[in-house]
Amino acid sequence: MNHPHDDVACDEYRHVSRRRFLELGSLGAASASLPSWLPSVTFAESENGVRDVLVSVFLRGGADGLTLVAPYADPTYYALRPTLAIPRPDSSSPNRGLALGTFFMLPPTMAPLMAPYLSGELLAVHACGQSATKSRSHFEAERYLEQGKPEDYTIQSGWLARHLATSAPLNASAPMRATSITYGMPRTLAGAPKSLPVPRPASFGVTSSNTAALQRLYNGAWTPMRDSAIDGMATVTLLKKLDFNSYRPANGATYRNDNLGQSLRAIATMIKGDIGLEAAHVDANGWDTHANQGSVGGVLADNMTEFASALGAFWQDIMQGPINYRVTLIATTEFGRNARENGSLGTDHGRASVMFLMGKAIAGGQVITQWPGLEREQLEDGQDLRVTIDMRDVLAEVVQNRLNNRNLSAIFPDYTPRFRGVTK
Amino acid sequence: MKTSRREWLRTGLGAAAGGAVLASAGSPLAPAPLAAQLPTSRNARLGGLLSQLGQQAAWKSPELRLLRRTSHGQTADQVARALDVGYEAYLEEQLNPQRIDDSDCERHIAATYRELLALTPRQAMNIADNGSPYFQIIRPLGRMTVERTMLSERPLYERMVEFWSDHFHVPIDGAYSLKLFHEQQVIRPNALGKVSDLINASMRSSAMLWYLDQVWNTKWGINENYARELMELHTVGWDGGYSQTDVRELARVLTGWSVDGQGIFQYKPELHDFDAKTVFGMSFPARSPGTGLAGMDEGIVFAAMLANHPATKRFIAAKLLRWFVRPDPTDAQIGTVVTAYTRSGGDIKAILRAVLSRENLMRAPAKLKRPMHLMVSALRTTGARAVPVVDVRRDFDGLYLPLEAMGHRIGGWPTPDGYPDRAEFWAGMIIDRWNNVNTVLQVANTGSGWTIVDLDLFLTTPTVDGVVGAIRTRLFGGEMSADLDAELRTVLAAGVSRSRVLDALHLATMAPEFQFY
Repeated sequence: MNHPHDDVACDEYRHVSRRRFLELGSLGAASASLPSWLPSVTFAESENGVRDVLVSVFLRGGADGLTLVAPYADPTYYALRPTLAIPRPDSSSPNRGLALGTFFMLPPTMAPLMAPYLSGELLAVHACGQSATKSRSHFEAERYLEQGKPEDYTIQSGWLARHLATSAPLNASAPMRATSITYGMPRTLAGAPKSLPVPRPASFGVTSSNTAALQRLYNGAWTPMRDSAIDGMATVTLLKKLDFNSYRPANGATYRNDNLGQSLRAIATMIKGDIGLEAAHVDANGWDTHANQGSVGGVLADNMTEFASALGAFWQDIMQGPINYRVTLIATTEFGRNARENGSLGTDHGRASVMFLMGKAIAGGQVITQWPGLEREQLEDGQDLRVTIDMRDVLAEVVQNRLNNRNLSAIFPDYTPRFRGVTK
Repeated sequence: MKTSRREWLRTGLGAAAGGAVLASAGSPLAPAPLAAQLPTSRNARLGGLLSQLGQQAAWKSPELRLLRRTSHGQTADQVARALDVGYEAYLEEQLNPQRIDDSDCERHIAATYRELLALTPRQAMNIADNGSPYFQIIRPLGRMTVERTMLSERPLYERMVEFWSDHFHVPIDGAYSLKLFHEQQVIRPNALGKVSDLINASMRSSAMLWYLDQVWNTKWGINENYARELMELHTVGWDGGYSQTDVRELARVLTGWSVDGQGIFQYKPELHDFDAKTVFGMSFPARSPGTGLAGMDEGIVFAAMLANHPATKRFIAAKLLRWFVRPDPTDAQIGTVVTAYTRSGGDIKAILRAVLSRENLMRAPAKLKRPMHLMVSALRTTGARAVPVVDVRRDFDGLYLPLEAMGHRIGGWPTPDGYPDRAEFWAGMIIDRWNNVNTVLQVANTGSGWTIVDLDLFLTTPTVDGVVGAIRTRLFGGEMSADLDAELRTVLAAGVSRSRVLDALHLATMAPEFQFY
């Protein structure tokens, strides 16, 4: 393995930049696993209100972009997907799609996304993926996306973690700058300062009465357990002040009683609770549809229902109307699936997929794409939707314009992003 | 999933064809500050994590270091045994589990889980389709796995079962509840056998073939899911040097490896692609389609090559070193284990002798217990027993639900790479660790499904010194920090009572040093 970042930079540069970084880091808390190659950084401004809260939704398993936002006007789509295609919006089928203009459509199960789309606050970016790796392995592709640099097994921190590490806290006294509604920390947030997973926010607490002894014991203990314990106890105190169970969403929004719905509901509670949360992550599992994917009535349709309902409710609750909570939501997946359906009514691992962004300052109401086409010679290796927009282009634009952090070379190392106009 | 299997049966792929092939099974080094042992750049590359993990300077005894690493918590009997016979002899005993009497555990498991263990694959699939797999299979199997680990006198063997179970991971929620047979027939019989036997058995695991879509992989339509993971996760590893073309070609080689209607492995020659294939440098010329086992030999030959491939040796050596020794094994450490792999022809016992050398363990930094390890070690060291669950639908299940709450329920990881073995993944879970370890350590008069600590073990001398001494011995093998010693005395200061002893046990198991091993 190569370790380019350790080897390329001279020792002095590494030494200086790292020391400076740690000094700055002590403004918040020393981060558990900062990359040693981190270039010198400029701290993002920290006035309250100049940055959005980022909500990151990860569709694990490789979501089929050709179903999520289907190109009904590309005739090859129906040839490649004889049994899995969504019927045209102008067809008479009860399962017909919902047109997003003259080329793309949403499947009917994604109907809750129409309101934010028509309000100009939901954006889809298509033929979007990872241009610098051709990996079709979930674990590699997820890792590469989450760490913000492909083909590198030496990076231990996530891109969102490095955004947080290179920006001063929005609220200096907040014990929890970022959270993940998961058991364990996803790579996207690995190494983030003052961040911890809170799988069940409503019941986050310590049952022991002897917390004073725990405070003393953990003060001398090894990081990362010390940070986890001390910040964890402070976060327990904080979350106790929020009443998750009786939270009433605004604008009549209803979160479904499923994993993603309840996770976004908890995140909305924390955002409105104004506890200094800057980023929240949630996983949606089950998008690896090799067999019987069921674009209309099946696994994929169920997944899309959960996804669209959750995002629709979150939009109503947090974004609809005049109140601006300053939130940007992104939804990513590690790769798309083969353009052609396989022999088992499913689709195998492919390349480009679709990405969603939602927010008041997102250039929504459109599908941004450089459509590569679906003819055999247009497909990558003759089988997959070609990546024409790198996901880092989209993420970097959000980081710079909505999170107000210009340290893109630290967050997406060795990459020069090209902004695609995803923010207003 | 239900639709999926019906669909599979409808397409005829599930119909019995050809002859069924049954699943075959075929001088102690002083601890030094870790950072000092490492070239700066290696430490730095891991983001400084290593220097923060630190050495536990109080852990001086080599035998105790071996016990911590090779068990889910050392029992008092095992501490005595290891100190008596010494490091190498104790390791040798544990490497030969069949010579260790474990009949109490076996009897208990056989009696308690009689219904689960009597299931056939066909019955398990019926439960998955029409029954309550959560109550009939998922929870009992999780509970049985925990209870076995808790009671067994063969702790190293159980650690290896856990390792391979993650390595050849099949989620308990999918694959028609066939994971039971994957554990019983693939993992457990081979956990200390030969790597090649494990690979061969895993290729005939109906759970694995279902889970990774191999049952859909035919000459008419390739499904490359299993072929990829067989190389990426099970053998040569992600950087093993294969290409996307190799993945597709291997999928063609494996066409025909399938499952019959009874949920048992079956090779189906009519699904096999008999055209020429080249995969990973190995050529399979075109041949005439045959019957019986014709064409199956291609997969068998290829698997043998994989088991003996240098990349496989390195991948498994490094992974075992991470499991038992440290997150960043050196090239020299990996090389030593690879040599043992080569010399022994992939004998897991020989490989483990190299991994678990005295020198490796004396230099090993403290490792964070995963939640299951934490919970079982709390139960083992406190001599807890489990009260059987009377009503699975209503009663609290103290051997299953705490793991669910900590994100580590048995077989619950959603992707085929198995639960992570990285401290940074689990470190954020501290609040849930505390709460759940408190939950599982309970005292008498608790209802069905609970676990009950034997407080009398800690009250043989009912004084503060006596109780603290018993905790030091039982939970920490005699090596406990002065800080924790002082805190335990504070808890007991108002007088030794059963409830204060339980408080002291809770604090000891929540303490930082109990989180590591």
